[in-house]
Amino acid sequence: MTEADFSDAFFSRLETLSLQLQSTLSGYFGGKHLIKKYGQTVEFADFREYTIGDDIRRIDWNLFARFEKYFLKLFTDERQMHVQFFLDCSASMDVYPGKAAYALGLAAALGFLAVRNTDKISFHLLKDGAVLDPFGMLVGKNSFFGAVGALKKISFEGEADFAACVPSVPSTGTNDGLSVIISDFLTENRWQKAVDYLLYKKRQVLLLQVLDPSEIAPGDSGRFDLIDAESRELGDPRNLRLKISRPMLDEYADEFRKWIEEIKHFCLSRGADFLSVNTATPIEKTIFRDLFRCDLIR
Amino acid sequence: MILRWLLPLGFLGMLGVIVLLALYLLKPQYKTQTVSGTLIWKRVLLRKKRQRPVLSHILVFLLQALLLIAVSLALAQPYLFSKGVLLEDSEYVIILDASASMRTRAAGEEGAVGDTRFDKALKKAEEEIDRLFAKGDGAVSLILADSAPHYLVNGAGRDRRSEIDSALRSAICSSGTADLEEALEMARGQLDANPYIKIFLYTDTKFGDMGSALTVVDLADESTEWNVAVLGCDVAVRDNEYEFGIRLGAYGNVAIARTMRMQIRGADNGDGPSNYELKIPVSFEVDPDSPVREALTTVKVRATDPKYGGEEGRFFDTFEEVRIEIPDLYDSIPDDDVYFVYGGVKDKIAVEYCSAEPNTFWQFGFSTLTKNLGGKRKISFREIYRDAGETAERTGYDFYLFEHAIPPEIVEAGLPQDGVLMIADPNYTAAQANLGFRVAETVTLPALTGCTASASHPLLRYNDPSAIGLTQYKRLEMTDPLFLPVLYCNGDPVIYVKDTGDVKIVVLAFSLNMSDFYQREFMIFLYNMLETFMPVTLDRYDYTVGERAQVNCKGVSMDITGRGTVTLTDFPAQYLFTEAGTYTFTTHFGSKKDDEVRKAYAHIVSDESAIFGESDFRIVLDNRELTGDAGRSLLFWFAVAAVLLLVLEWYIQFKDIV
Repeated sequence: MTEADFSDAFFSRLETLSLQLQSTLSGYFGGKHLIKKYGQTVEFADFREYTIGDDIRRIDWNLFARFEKYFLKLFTDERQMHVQFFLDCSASMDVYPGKAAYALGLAAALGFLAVRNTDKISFHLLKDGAVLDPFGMLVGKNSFFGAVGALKKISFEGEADFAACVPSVPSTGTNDGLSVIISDFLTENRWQKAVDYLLYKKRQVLLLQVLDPSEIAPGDSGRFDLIDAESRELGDPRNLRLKISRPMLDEYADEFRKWIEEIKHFCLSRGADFLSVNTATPIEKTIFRDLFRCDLIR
Repeated sequence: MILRWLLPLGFLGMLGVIVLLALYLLKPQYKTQTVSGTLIWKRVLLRKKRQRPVLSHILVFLLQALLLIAVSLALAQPYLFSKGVLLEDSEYVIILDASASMRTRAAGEEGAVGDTRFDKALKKAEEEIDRLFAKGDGAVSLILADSAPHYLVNGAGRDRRSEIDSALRSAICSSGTADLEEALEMARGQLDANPYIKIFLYTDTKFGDMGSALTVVDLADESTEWNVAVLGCDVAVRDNEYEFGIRLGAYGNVAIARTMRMQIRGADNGDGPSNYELKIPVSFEVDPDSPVREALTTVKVRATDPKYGGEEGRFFDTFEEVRIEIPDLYDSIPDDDVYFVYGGVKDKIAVEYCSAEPNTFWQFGFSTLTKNLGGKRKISFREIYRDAGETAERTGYDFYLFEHAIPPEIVEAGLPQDGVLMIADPNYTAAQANLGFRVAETVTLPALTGCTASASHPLLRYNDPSAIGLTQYKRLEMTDPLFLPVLYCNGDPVIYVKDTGDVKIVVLAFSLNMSDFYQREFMIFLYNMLETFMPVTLDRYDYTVGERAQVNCKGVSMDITGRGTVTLTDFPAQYLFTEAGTYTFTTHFGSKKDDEVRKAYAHIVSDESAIFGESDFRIVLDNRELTGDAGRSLLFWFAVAAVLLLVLEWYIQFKDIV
């Protein structure tokens, strides 16, 4: 059970922000996201010459008076998006205090921004090798807050298998919104397959990596039996007996940096967004600075 | 069989087992820590595994290899010797004194008996070599110290024992001297290379202390050995009478009074040869308290002294042989009990002179030469008086001297074949005699003109060509290419020489009357001619063993008979006397002349007759001193190294397992 800051004050600070999704998405009718397709909104987009079959009500008569040619006035379209959250609820997310809450906080913040834009949201919880969808499709703040309240009570256990679980989610639409994967990605499972699947479904993908400072830079040297939180027994090959020396810690830092670079490179090559956050960083700073820099919110 | 431990202290190494046990029991404590994932750690380990294998494996391999080497070396029981310990008693240099005195045996009642000192030296050397090789590997060098010391074997090990034995068996004691100083210098060379060798000198010469490396084995035995020797004989003619100064020596514990016998054979005063025998009493008494143990005396004997059996008033001017001995001596060295004197027969040179216009220069020249040669040669000069009806002989002379004209009987009968033909100032008769040249013209010079020599020729060895002046000479036309011009005047050859061994012709193409040759250079020229064509066979007739004589030959070849026969054809030659005794030098003239026989006697060196000698030189041959800490067992240290390597290897393996 994790305690996350889902207070009113937390959400009220997000009121000034909005979620910025790709304009190439199609989404559903009736949202607030401007897309590249021309539609029926009042937002002017362009002119074009009249062709037979066009609605003559859109002819700009002022231009006709000036050029004696028929031009149509075009407007952008606004759509509703589906924002999916794939939340890593494996045991690894609950090893360090605050890590799970941080992950939930990010999910809630992004969810709130989506709901505020009248988007549909859904929370998919991945644990014990399965994916749970306890809340279904959420629209509107009431249902959102109800779900957020329930999220506080979820448990983190077992392991998350993104590659198997993400494609199995039935409500994943095509080209209709943002998929956010929140995890520490400290797993040997091929989570990249899940990303590829979502991109195949033409969804905008955001990977939020939540890491505890101890994971970024373990500070202690000495002899350790390292037990993987997701292992079921001591003899699990994921467990290690290590004599950690100072040089090894340096090598850990170097290897960690390479690992992050590999994830970044993977996401960049696929067109997905990636943000690695340290739980030591205040969540507001992550949202207002880091996500802002990602052009995901504004 | 009893099992014993050479180094029980080594059992302390078993404490290492306790240490090893402790290392295994005292396992390090590991803290359990739950982490969100070990992905990064696994990547770190993978990276380390990729980086480390080469170094780690090489290190482990090296340690394991070193461990095996250390164990192997420990099993081989290493022992560190200092160089001295290693080389001490490992190399012997054995010097065998091969001087004539080493032939000394014990004096018996009827002669020398038992082994010679040299035989004893060989046996003792063999025993010493046996002792060396019984200890293990070693090396032996054998130096035979005669007049020219040399190695019989050098640095021969046990594997070359047969070679050493063969060298010992074939070693021969000489009749000459031994250059022990040179032999010891050779040993010093070995000592420089290995300062721990032992040098054994088997000799009969007494040496003082000459260093720690040298062991002198004195083989002289004064209780059984003594020697009396005829050391030499000086021959002189006093008052037309031969006087023999006989030097005698006695050595060792001896006191004798004997009669020395002197036999003179072939004594001739012109009436024919006859023999004499003289008996001279001699006595010796060596002072046993004297450190020298030597008694020397010289007995002067006149050949005609009646008190020794000589015939007073019966002088002789030549003798064939004088034998000097002390009979029934039975001492330790019989070789020096007899002495022979030769040289009592003088070389005779017969010269025939025939001239169309005789002069006295030639006879005067040869007679002066006879006087100046100190009586070594006896020159008979016969002038042919043609006015008295005498005719020239073509045989029986050593020199045939024809001046101006070749005698017609010679032209008719042929040139002499058994001597040197000398033609002075030839005329037309030369062509008639088929000498190989003819007179082309007579050249008269405006003034006395000096001569030049093209190359040095023995005939002009001591002459100054420029001091030979001519006013007239004959230009010769040579048809025989074997004539060699040796002196030139006015650009023309004036003296020719033809020497083919069988035929020896000298041509003077000028008359003594038309030159100043006779004033000074003529005598030298005659001397050169005698030395070139009629050299004396030997300078003297007594030699010591080991001495070289210069041998000349008037004829074609020479046989030298001593302990064998040697034939010489190239002269002058050097002949080495290797044994004591009489040597016969027989000169062969081919079929033209009878052989000429000369004898010489080689006796052992007087110092070798002195059988109890002392060295007159000193060489210091010291070994390098050995230090007290000469050797140390390394078994313990190799075992320690093995244990340390084992622990280190275990540690690294353990670290890798982690």
